[in-house]
Amino acid sequence: MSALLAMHKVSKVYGDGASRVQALDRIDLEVSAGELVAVMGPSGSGKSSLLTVAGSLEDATSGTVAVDGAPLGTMSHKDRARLRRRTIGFVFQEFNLLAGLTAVENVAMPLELDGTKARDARTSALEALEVLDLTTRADAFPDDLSGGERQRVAIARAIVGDRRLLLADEPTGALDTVNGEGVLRLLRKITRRGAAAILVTHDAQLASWADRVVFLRDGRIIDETAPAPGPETLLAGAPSPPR
Amino acid sequence: MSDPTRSAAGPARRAIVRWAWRLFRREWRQQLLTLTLLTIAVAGTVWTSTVAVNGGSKARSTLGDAKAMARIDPQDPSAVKSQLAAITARFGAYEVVPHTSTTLAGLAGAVDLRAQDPNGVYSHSTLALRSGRYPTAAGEVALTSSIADALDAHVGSQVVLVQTSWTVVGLVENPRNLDDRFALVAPSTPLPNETLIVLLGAVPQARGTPAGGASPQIDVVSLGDDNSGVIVLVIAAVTASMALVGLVAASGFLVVAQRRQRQLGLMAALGATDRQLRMPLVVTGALVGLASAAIGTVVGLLAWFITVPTVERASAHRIDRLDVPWELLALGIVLAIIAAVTAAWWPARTVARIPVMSALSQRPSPPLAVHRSAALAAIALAGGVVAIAQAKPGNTAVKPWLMIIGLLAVIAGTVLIAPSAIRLLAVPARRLPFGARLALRDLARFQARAAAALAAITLALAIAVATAVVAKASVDEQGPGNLSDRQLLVSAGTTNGPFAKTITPTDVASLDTAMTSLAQAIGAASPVPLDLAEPSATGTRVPEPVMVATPVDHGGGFQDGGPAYVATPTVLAHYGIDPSTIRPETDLLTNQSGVVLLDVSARPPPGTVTTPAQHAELSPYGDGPRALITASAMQRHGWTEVRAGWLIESSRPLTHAQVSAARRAADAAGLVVDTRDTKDRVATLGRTATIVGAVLALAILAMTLGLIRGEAAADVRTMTAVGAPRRTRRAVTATAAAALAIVGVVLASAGAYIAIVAAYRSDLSRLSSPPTGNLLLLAVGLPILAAMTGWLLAGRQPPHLARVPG
Repeated sequence: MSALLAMHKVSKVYGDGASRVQALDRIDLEVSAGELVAVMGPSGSGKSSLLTVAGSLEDATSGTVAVDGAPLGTMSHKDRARLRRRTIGFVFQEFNLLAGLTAVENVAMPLELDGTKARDARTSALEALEVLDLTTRADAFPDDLSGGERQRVAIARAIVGDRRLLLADEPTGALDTVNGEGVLRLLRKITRRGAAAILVTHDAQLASWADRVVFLRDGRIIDETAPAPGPETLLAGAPSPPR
Repeated sequence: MSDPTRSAAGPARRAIVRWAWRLFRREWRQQLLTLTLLTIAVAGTVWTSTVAVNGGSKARSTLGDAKAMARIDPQDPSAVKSQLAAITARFGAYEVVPHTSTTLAGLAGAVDLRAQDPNGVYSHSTLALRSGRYPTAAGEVALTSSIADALDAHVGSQVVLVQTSWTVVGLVENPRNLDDRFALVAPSTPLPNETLIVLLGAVPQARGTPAGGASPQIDVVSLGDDNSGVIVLVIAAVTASMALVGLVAASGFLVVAQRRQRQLGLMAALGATDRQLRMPLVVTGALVGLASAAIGTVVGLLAWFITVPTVERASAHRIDRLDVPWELLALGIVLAIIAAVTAAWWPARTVARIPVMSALSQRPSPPLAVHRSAALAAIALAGGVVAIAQAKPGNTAVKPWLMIIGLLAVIAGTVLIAPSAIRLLAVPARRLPFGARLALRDLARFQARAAAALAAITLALAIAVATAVVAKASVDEQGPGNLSDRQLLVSAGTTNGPFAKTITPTDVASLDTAMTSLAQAIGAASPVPLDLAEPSATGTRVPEPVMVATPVDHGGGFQDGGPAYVATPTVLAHYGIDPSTIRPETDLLTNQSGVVLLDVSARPPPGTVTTPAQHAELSPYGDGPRALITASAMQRHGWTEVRAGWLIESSRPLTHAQVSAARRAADAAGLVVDTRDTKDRVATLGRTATIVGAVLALAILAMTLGLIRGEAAADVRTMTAVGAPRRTRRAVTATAAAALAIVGVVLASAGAYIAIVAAYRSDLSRLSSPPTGNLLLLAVGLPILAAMTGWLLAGRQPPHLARVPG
């Protein structure tokens, strides 16, 4: 299976001189289609930096990053924006939705930005909301949605239009346990449909939903392992993923 | 891969515009102050442009639509015929207006008697009938209201003018000059000592060009259409207003941009391009610009319609309400929208360039280095000074475009210096108390926003400072005027020459009583009798009163310096002069320099004259006593006191009714009344500009402080958590407000003076007396007011504080 995300010897440095911070240090990571990878580590270990570099929100200081085979280093600003519209979906811990737009409009926004007609974009957005069981809340504004609903809308927006790489930074941080597990169940469902996903989390319980867990410390991958069979495997009744 | 940009443009644009519209609807309350400020700026521009174009002194106010004029002495009818023939040959059509001058009891100055055709080809626009009808037969006259008032005449009355009785058939006016006092008689009526004014429709090649060939010789004067001053004023006002609109809008939109920073970061994460990120704010700018342009224009036009009567009175000519400079207004509206959109584009561009993660975490972008903007500011200021100087604004050949470029350059220079000023504010922060330290550092931290607000404040204040300085210079140039607005000078009038008429001794006692009654009637103190010094009669010569004069050159000539009154005990007491302080050898007490007493009755002609003079604080006004002949001088020269008039001074400015009553009383006594004839509009303009500038600056400060308070919510939460008292929170906002106000006043004063010095460089003495009161009000009053406003604003903790994300 080909890697949807390939990071090779990727380093990221912020600041210089006394304020120099090495956020990522020669990271090698590949994530394949259908794979859910959890990234864990203490605060300041480089988890979020890994996600932003992988998602083309920030440039790597050195090394190469390729998404769906396309190296980010040689892409223009516009091409990266296009990549984010078509291939990469983000889910953040907070401030995921545009306040002035309804749930369905929020989900349709990346498609419309990419030139899809409003009616077609709405149809696709409704399909994405249906996957997340949010059809009835399609025309609600973010202020009228619960925290869990908002995060599900954000996930719908991240997967709309057949995006293939989902990057989620603490997507359950603002949610209670039930809603948090609901979100993970969705991520798992989406990867089953062929997308790749990276999940940054502090919570080992949630990380157990992943196919693979990557541990970071001081910007380096210090360990990489498959988790013990978790709730998802038990619920699905499926064999545990290979170690 | 096909280029998605073109195909994506339509749907993407619609999606962004829809989002921008929703945001605008959600946030319109936050943008209300920006909208209000822009609306006020547009309304102000509409009103001032219309007033400036209509309210300026219109050229040819007495001579109508003629392009040139000539004067012909009608003593020799055959010469008149040949001169008119020469004019016809040279200029074609003409219109002759016979007129003569006369005086009226109770009215100071000359009155014009005109035999003018109401349908005259060139002069018809200078006549309008207010009531009755135009005179059509001999013995009929129509009067302007001031003459009718002076004569207590109305339609149907009989009046005596130039020793002839006339029947008043109508009331008229010159709609192009309401101060034009004249009596209109039928066109063919012969007038004593008349002069013929010939109005021409063509312009001679040069001023004073003879109309004919060798003979006859007629001096034809071209009537220049010199309204360049008004044009420059309008251009300057529109330029400055639009720059202010742009800066206020930019300052407001920076607030909006920073509020939306996180949402824009999210849009960027979703794959929005820079153009798509800029678009919501640009759409907001367009909406705000359109709304403010529409509302501002309506408000400005309403203000114009309401104030037309006031403007008519102030400018002394009739104004057609619909005579609005529509092209100028349309230009102003378009410029306002462009200014708003451009102002939105700049912060939109700034916020679109913020790295996505910084935008998402709402970190301010690091402040840009200021050395480049400071260097650009210096270049812009220097260029602006040169352009304004080369535009020659004080000259009739003003270059308007150079003036606009110069003004814009000075404004740009002042704006570009703002970031450096903000950065400098943080320098002393280390030594200041906690609240002040935090405030100044926050200003530097949010440099772009603070600099935009400072630039808008600076421009608002610079307009106020410049107006106050120019108004003060104009007031100084006009001098204090002929009399104060509390004074009446009642006199027997003047002779045909420079001499004041005197009152016969037999009438003095009764007139003294009449003047005392007059003073009581208008609530004034007792009148101050003014006497002149009269030399003894020699031979057949009628003596003329001794006057004050200024020796001219060395040829024995003199320039009229006005009457010299006798220093009677009453006059000395009125001006608080102790008689014992007058030296025995002093002939003249005066507040003028280089003047002498002149007795023109003396023979031989005076030649070189010197007068022992002593300085005294007398009337600063032109017609008030400015020179007093001492009692010892009267005795030495053998001069006699003769009554010339009375000075009546009230404790309050005189009303129109009081002046009219005084005129009637004086008329009954055969005297004339002189009142203040200098308009105080310019001084009022300076005061108004100062207040409006300060209010506008405070409004911009309030807008900025609103944002500072919102953004500092996290800091306030932290301060509250560590136990900082409420006064510390207040100190943060108050210090920021006061600091912006102080720096704004300093930059505004410097910028305004740079532009004005460039404009007045040929005569800098006009700036020797600055408007100290106005400047002090801005320099001291505004920062105090800003600090107080900030202190009060910061008193109430926002209710949502606890929920503000850190």
